[in-house]
Amino acid sequence: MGIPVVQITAIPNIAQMVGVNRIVQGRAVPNPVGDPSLDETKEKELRRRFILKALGLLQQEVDGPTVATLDG
Amino acid sequence: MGEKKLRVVNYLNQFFGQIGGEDKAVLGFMVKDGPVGPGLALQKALGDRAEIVATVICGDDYFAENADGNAKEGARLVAAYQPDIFFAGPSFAGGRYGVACGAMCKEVGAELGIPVITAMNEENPGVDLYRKYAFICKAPNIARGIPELAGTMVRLAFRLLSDEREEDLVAWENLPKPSEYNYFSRNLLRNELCGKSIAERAVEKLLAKLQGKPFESEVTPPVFEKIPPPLPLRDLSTCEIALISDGGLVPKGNPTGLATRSNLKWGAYDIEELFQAWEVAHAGYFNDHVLNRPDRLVPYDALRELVEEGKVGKLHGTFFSTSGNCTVTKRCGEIGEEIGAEILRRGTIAGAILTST
Amino acid sequence: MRLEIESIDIKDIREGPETRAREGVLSINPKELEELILKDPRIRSVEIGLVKPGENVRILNICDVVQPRCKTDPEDADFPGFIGRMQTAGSGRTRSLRGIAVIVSNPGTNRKETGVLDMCGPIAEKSPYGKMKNVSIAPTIADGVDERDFEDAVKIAGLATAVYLARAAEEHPVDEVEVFDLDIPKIDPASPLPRVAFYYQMYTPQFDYLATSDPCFYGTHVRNLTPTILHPNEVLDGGVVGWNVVKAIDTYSIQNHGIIKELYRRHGRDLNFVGVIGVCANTEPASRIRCAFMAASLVKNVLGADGVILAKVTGGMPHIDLAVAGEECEKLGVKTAIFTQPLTPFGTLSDTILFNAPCLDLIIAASATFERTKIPWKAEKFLGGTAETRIFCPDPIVQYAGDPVIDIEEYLLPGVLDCTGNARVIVKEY
Repeated sequence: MGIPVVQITAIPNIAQMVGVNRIVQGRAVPNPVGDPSLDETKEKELRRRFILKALGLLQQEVDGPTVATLDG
Repeated sequence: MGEKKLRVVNYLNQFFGQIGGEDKAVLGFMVKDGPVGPGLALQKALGDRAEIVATVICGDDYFAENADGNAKEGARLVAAYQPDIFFAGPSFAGGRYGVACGAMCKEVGAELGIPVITAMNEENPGVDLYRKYAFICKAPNIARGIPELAGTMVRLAFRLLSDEREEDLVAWENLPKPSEYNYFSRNLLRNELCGKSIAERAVEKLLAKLQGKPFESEVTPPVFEKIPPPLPLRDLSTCEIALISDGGLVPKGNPTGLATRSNLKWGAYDIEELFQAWEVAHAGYFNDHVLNRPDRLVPYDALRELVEEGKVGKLHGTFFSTSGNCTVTKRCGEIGEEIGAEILRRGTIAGAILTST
Repeated sequence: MRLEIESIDIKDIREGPETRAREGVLSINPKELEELILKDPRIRSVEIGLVKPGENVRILNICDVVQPRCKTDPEDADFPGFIGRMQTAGSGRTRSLRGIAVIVSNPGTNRKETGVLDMCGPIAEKSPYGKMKNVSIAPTIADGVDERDFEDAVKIAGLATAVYLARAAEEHPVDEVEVFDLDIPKIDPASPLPRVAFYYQMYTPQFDYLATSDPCFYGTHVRNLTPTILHPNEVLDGGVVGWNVVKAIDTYSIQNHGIIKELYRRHGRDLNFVGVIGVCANTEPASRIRCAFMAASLVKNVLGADGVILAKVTGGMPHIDLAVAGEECEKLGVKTAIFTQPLTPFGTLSDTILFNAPCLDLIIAASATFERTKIPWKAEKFLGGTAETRIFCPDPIVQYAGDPVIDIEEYLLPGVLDCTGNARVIVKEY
């Protein structure tokens, strides 16, 4: 068995279709874990939340393709 | 027109090469002058325009033991005759023979850049393995109809050597139609001219669907295999995490030469150095946000912070990068496997984060 | 709304003291056209060329192609929101010149991807514009003008030229009148014909140059557009135009929108055309899902459609907006025909699909826009650029307009592929 990978993408539909098991819905296609419209501090906070969400999924047991969002 | 006679080499197995039956399948390579067995039908079809100068023969079992190595040896034998065309078989439904024909075509094609043509039945395992590398004409599943098959193979060979373009293609290319030359499609996709416009077809087919009549979709989606989810990580504070991305982030100068579209490569880069000088090789999204702050794609700052805080054990020092814009699905799968194998080889990484555009 | 397009066939163009069409020949005073274009202070100078099929001319840095059209009533606005005052496009009478196109170039552009059109050779063979008599305009930027601002100026110059040429045929007899008459509220609810809508993806912001979306809709851009309802005539009559770059989309194709014209052709006979939903592709998942639901609701609950055609713009990400919207339509009982554009030349057609919901069972292989082709043609004369103009190719290939062979992706050849559905092209396995 391999090691767990979590994919952060703004197009979770494709990841689900292809069978990726751990998916976090990213911010936007050109900036999946960033947001240029925010000031630097807020952007770093946002990025941290994405990474914590992703690391959380890595520690979670899943049955099949699972999408986590920042709100959910 | 005073054309030089074209030179042709034919590959056959022990049976069609008239050496013997299954008992002779263990024999290695030998070469006979001129055409042998089915080669005579090929020669007839070639007429005065070309000459089969040699027939390379090999036993099916001998070849199968080391297909790649034997293909190289066989190709050397073929190359000595400086052929303009290479025919293998036809191998019909014979599995070992089909694989040998396919492997020979692949190697000769790569080495000499000449048309490489064979013929197999659709059930022959050689078809799926080698359809990309050779022109495999469609053959019945028993050894019958050799003259017609020879005619098809020769027609295709002459077409490939001509200056002709395929008029029905949008692209300027000499790529004959699979249906016209009766060969298995070679895993290529092309824009083809069509009598009906895209709009006409769309409306027509939608109407059929609305009327409950049969309609034909122009594409059928694939079915993807289920991948059993790996076990979750236990204690993050002891885990080493690696970062991977398909957003095309590369060191300045793009040393590995990732392509901005239809890319086939991946790179492994020291992440600290990368974050000192970087660029983006990906034409499928607006790059500026990432160029201004690459952490927006590869969360280096966030991971470093979490490591400092002790929440994550370690960040792996290598960042794995590829560029996923209009890329070939199968190659992407291979890239994933290759990166995965490298990660496992390094032995210290417990989990990975893949960020995508 | 009722729109009449009065078409005049132009058989030849030439320079002359007066810009006027007579007996199928359009005479053009280039000085007068130049003065018109230079009225915009953002433009320092403009190169104008008249080209015909068979001339060994390569037109470079193309950002749009426009069909010469103007409203016949001077009270009506041409290309409302762009050069005319705001007005709903799509009623009254529009004069249209056939056999001629305005090829708009931005020779000083810093964009890497720009269109190329040859007037003879392989490109002319494949592009409808290679068979027309064309007016090429290539404005250059005035000092101190912002790059994006100048792109607007170039676009407007192209549209203004199109109007100027069409006005010159004022007294010319008309060769054909096409009537686009669709009173959507009055479509008989008891009609046995299926009601069909068109989901029109107009734009994707994923390629936005300098983070700015190209204006393409009544003078503004459609980034973050909330799905909206349009009357098809608005699209045909100048409410929607091409982007600032040719990506298998240009104003000319939109003026002759393939899907809209086909639905019109069948309207009242095989189907009832109940309207157009205008949408933009989304880079963010939340808005993608929101727009999909909204579009599907408009299609089902407001237009009352039984079926919908979903067409996309060039790009990979746009497939997903289509797929999500298409699925929601099918869930509401609306039957879909959805477009796909294979993104690579390798694999089977199935390999290229980015979605696989079972309900999306009618997929149209609407051309592979990124297909590459060699163009073995040595051009002699250049407009909108020079022999040293770099031609875009995604590999690290370096090539120039003067090279004997160029390797180019087909979406950069105006008119060869067409997201509006006019192209007679299908994708086949080879």
